[in-house]
Amino acid sequence: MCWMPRKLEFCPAKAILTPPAPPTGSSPVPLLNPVPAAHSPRFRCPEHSPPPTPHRCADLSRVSSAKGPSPAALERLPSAPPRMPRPSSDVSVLGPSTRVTGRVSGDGALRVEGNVRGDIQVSGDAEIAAGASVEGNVSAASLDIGGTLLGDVASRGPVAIRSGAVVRGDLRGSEISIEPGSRVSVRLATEFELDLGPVGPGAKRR
Amino acid sequence: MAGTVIGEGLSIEGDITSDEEVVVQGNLRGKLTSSDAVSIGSNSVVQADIAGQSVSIAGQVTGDITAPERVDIQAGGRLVGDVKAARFTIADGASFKGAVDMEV
Amino acid sequence: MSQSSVIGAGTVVRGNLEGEGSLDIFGRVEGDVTMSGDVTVGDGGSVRGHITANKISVQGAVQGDLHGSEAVLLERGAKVVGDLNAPRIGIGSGALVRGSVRTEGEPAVAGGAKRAPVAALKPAVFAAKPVAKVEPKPAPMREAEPIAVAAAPLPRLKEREPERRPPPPVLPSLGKGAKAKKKGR
Repeated sequence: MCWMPRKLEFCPAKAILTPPAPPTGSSPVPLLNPVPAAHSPRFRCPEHSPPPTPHRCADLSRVSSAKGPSPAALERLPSAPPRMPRPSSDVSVLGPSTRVTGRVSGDGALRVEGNVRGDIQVSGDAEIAAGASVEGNVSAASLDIGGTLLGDVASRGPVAIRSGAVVRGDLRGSEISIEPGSRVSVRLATEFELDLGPVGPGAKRR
Repeated sequence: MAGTVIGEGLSIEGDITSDEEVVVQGNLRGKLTSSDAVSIGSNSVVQADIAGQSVSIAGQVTGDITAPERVDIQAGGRLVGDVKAARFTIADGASFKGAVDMEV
Repeated sequence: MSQSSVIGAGTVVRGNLEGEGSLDIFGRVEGDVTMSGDVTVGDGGSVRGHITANKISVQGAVQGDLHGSEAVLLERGAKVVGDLNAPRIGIGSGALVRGSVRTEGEPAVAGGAKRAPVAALKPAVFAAKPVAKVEPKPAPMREAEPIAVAAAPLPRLKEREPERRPPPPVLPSLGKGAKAKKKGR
């Protein structure tokens, strides 16, 4: 993501940032807002949307795509804020030395590399990395288990148990796969029809 | 890159302990202890005592902060609670209410 | 030494199967299957009964428990309703299972004799085999329970032959008033 102080306007033709023309000769719009601390993501550059009003510069046709200012253009600004590395989309990560005792819930995806003692309920994908452990129930859009899970699983999508994983509990998901090499003691409650054909005469009664 | 990132949509109710950097962008209610840097994002709402090597607050925090190195409240940040740190800054635009002990 | 048998796609077997060697099932089996070698339930094959073997691979349908002394592998297209027990269990993506799945051995136990030694499967009375597997295991006693429980139904079921009907009751041919006649004597 790039940073752009709010009041500047991007000129696609010249690929620079210029202050907008003062509307009716009133007090000039301040060039730059005081740049906030790098931590607060208040300002976003219109990366994928061109400026709403037609720009006063001619020759917009020369510009192939009216995207946001290039990073290079931004950096030329005197007080461009440092580019803050933003974590990829909304994947939360609980690092290898992190221990959570309590409930984890919310939107987005979750990757557990440490220990969680408590229930996990996320709307996105969940992953328990190798070496990680979760003692509690997990509810997610999909679940990938490489570490230890002691608890029940309710997944809206697939559940994959990797080799080396240790899983104990009831699993529910649209599709459950278990790699050999894992240690499991689970109950699968997948819903499906099993039709073995009609029971012949004299056959075992079950 | 932080070791532990609690994304914006996530809420944790309970205790968190860690040996690595922790970035909280979601909500936390409980206790947070790290031996490395802790950073609370601007959209976070935290009701917890926080202990870290250094703590930076850009969101809303209610709880006591302990950091041997430093505590910074960023513009837009809001802290209600006591601070115990060697260095302490409150940016213009931040809010703070509590006692400060800079181990003088 | 070990032979391989096949139940073809158009074949239906009603009754328990047991033997040495391996078995490929492409038809239908209604009964328990107990082999010393590997059992494969191919695509289109179906088994309504328990399967006990060394390595069990399933691509068809099974209604019953699967006990593998080495492994149980379910591939895409497999549909199993029953319990799975083996030291190595694989359930491929696309396989459907309903029941409990247990790899033998407590997760906490390190290494250990997870696999029953193949030497234990000697050509002998089959009923003894599943029970014999329990002994070499050094694992705690409660691990033996699932095996013992699994072994128990087998001897019991084998004794019962599906075709056997209870013999017709033998009734003494007495006419009417026979009792009265007897009493009268």
